Amino acid sequence: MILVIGAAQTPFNRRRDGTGFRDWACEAFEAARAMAGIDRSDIDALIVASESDFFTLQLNPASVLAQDFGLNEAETLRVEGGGATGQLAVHAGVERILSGRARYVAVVGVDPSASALAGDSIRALYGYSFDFWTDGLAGVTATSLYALSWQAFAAEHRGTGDDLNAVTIKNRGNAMCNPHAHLPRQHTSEDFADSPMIAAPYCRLHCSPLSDGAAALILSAPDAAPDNRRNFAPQITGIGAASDLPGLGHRKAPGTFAAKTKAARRAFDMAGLSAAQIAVAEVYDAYAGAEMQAVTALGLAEDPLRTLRDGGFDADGGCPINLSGGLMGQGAPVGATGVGQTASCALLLEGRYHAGLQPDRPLGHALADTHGGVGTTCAVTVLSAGAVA
Amino acid sequence: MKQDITLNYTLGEGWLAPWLDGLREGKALASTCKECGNAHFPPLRACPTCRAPCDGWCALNGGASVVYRTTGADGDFAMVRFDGACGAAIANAQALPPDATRAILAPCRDAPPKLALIPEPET
Ligand SMILES: [Zn+2]
Repeated sequence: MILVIGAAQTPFNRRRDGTGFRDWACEAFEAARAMAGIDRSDIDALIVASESDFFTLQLNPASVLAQDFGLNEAETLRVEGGGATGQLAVHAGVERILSGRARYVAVVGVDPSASALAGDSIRALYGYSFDFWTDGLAGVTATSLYALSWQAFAAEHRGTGDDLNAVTIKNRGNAMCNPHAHLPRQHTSEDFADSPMIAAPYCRLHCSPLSDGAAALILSAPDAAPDNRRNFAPQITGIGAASDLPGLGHRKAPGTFAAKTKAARRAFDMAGLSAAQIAVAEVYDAYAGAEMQAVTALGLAEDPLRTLRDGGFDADGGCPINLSGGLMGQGAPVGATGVGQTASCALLLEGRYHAGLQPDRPLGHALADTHGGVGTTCAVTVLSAGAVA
Repeated sequence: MKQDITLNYTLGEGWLAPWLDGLREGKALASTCKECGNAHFPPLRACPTCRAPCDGWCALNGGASVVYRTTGADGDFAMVRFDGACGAAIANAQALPPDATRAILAPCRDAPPKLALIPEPET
């Protein structure tokens, strides 16, 4: 068990203020460190989550960020796993402490995914995030692959366009109470008819944005936590990861995120918990339908589409999904996404989340979920409330 | 601040050279599993069923059935099952009529070659 003694993020949005990724990373790191109440010299390792050097134009970004943060002698490591980058970095930080190599670890996720490159360049780059030698040679885009995968899921589970709209309305509605969110919106079902079709059935309103921003965690060994944090800090109790074949067509069921089920099982086993005990979850909703595919794979509801239609995943439902707004509403600076999800879960468990989104009941356990590819590189983190929650 | 970079890559085709040559010629080459004999298109280097190396190649007839299709501003793409292959491929379907259920692999001289479909000739 590892304590999350610091958790913070910057706004996720498209920056037009002349700042850069090193500024955002410093802002998130310093906010998390202030919450943790430890000195820079206490930090044994810095794990940096950054998806692509094409965004930052900085190879070995962990080295320059360690310098910026004043972590002169800390071990540094950069982690990358597509959309799962941030969550995999959290896992790497947890493992540093579990192995006894570190007492305090800073995990910082950052990417300038919105402002660094033009949209066409981003789309071209993401063509290389699937198997370039096969699917990439078709010229396929991320949205098209997700649309094909949703069609397979919808055929099996009777998913509808209304379900896609409902996820968008829910997540962007939650984002209205999140001051860090990129796309806070009060959509109605009428808005979708006018939204341009990107890859049927996905129109633009069903797609998450790419964002700029950073998020940071300070992780601590239980016996090293400062006195004022030891009993209150939420705990990371389970981590699990698994992978699937990159090619959708090579999978037995192209609409099923089988690797996510394996990753979740590994995380639940480590935590000694079951999916039914999760009170709140941040789930990888790169596209509206992907949230339902993920919730299904994670086992968070017996009949996920019915639960969605009944409001069970709403902010006031039985198991709120993506209170932050998720990728759809809060936004997605890719490396920061998984770190930000874990930060949101930690703040929710500690009762310190944004007013209007913090449930008024005590929360026992939370889950953060990401994947790279279309459910290919899956990483799940389970958190539990601190000793005095 | 602005920064422009132009990158020209030279990529070794390695074990996938027969597959890429096939796309250039409009011939669907599948990799075959040493143990179970399954034909994988697009090719896999290791069989997902028995984990054995797929170190052989076999020519499929090039015909394919459309499983799912998506169109929009991002283009026109289909998941298609090639005759004789286990598994399905993602292909560019821009040249197919919207209601097509069958297609054949198109020869492609672009660099790199595209995995693209054209209508099946009428018999
Ligand atoms: Zn085999």
